Amino acid sequence: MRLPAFVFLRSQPRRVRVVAITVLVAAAATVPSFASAPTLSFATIVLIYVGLAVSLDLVWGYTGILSLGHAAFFGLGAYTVGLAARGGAPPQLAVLAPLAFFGGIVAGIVIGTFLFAGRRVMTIIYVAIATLALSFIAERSLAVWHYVGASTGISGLPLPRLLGWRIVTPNDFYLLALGFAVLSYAVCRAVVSSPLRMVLTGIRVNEQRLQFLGYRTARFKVTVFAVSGGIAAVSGAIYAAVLGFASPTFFGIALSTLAMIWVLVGGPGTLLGPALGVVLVQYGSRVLSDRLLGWWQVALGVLLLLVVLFFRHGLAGLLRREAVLELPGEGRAR
Amino acid sequence: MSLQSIFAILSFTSILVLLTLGLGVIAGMMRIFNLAHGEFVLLGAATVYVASVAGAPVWVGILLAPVVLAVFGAIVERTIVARLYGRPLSAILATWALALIIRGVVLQLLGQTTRSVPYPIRGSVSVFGASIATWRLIIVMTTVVVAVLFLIALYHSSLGLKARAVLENAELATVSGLPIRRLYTGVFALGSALAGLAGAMIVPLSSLYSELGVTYLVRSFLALMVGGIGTFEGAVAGAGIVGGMESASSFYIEPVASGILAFGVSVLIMRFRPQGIRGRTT
Repeated sequence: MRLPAFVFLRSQPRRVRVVAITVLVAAAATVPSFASAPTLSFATIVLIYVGLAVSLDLVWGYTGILSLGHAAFFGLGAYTVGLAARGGAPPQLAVLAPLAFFGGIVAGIVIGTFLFAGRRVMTIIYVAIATLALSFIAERSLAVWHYVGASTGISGLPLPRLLGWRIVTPNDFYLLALGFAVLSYAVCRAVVSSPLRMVLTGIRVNEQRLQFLGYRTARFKVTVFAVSGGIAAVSGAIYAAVLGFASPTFFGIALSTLAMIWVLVGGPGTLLGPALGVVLVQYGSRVLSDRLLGWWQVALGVLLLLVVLFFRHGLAGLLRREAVLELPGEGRAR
Repeated sequence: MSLQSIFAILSFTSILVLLTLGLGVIAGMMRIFNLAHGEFVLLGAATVYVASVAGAPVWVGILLAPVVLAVFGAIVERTIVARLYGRPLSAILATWALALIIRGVVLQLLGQTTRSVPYPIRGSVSVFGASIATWRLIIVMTTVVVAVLFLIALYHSSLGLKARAVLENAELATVSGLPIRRLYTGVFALGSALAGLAGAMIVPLSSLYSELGVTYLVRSFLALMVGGIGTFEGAVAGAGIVGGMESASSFYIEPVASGILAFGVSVLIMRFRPQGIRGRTT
């Protein structure tokens, strides 16, 4: 598709992006002034999901590592908040969010080292299946752990605080979510604006060549996996704090799949694309699930199938100058 | 361990062997990892249920399931998978999308309830003095027969020779004039039929519910990776290890823990032996 407006926009990618984000954030900040209560809580959830989407884009879209179980990090963060409440700790997000971040980083380092360290480079298929199996293990273990409510999970979590700010009204929740979404986007953007991005792209496109150049690619993969895991965990922590509950399904394959759909619909490897992908898919889900009821799950599957078969670069693909022919990591899968 | 428990382990492992063989022959030949394989199991189980609701005897449904799934598999190969050769990651996502669709449709038609299907053959037989449920015995025997037929077809038929040629070197096979597209469709249909047969045979044991396929998908994938892609022995050994570990340990520890144990150990084996126990090094 070659619309003239896109041609103009493409000539100034960075400036356009800064303007676009400023406008988006400014527009998002005005939402509480006109939105109804259900719309506001919907928008809050969407903004929290943005963190999960950009974190997955970092590992998959930029580095080409497809994690089929990325929701496990989200669940880890949610249970950090849940366990803290269960243990009677105050719901202080200034402590819990960094704790979840740290937990996600540690889990990312452990799993990443297991998956990526060593001389043998694991195929993308192996990593996909292993992450799927690990998230299955996590979900099932929590579903039988009675201390945290087994399969029903923990509910009735106390209202969170951020330092002296008591987060009580839907408005507060929305602002918290907006702040988190902007922060998580900024962290991911900082990573991909640094020289690190070249290494990550190199790993995605041709890891072996990068190794011949002397880069220890495993370390970079572990690092990016850990950072991504940390962001996803904070996303889960805030989700649990806002909704007041955490359940084993937070670890599950359904949420991981949803995250992949957001990234794919928005366009992998663009950060802003997946963030908009969340808005679009969740909005569609909200509008259509009323009419389609359970058939919405089927429609989501059809959407994923169509995107993979025909629009592999999502929304952002419309803005790309050169046609990128492959999904991130496809080259390494062969 | 009693003979009954050994047969429980054997029948569970047998089902996994059928699944892993189907998954493995597709992965080995076409480099396609079919994440909808578990949902093919579900469809096989659903076929039996639909047939029994329609008034047919259960065994008719069980014979029908592989046929239905072979046709379904051939259609899927022609419409979706054929577009994705050489793009394994897209294939993973596309087949996963297909799995979501199938699971969603079955869930909508069935609802959240589980449906049970009567055993086609009731009663038990006595083996070395222990009484074994006849159906479990039939599952094990059917698997052995299918596996032997599979081996014979692979090594002693012209079709098997062609299949092995494609497995060895797809390009060379193509330039030698083998009808590679038709072989691919046939192999995909065969793999799907095996999954359908497995689903049809487990449904009397475990009843029908929409999540039935997912658990088997992860197990059979782990079995495939543990055993190694592209060999017959690998698929059988992998299924034996994963299935045996899970079902044998479930007699001593909680079922959830045995699942976790089997998955965890499989991931470890895969990590340190990426080509599998008997895999081809590619």
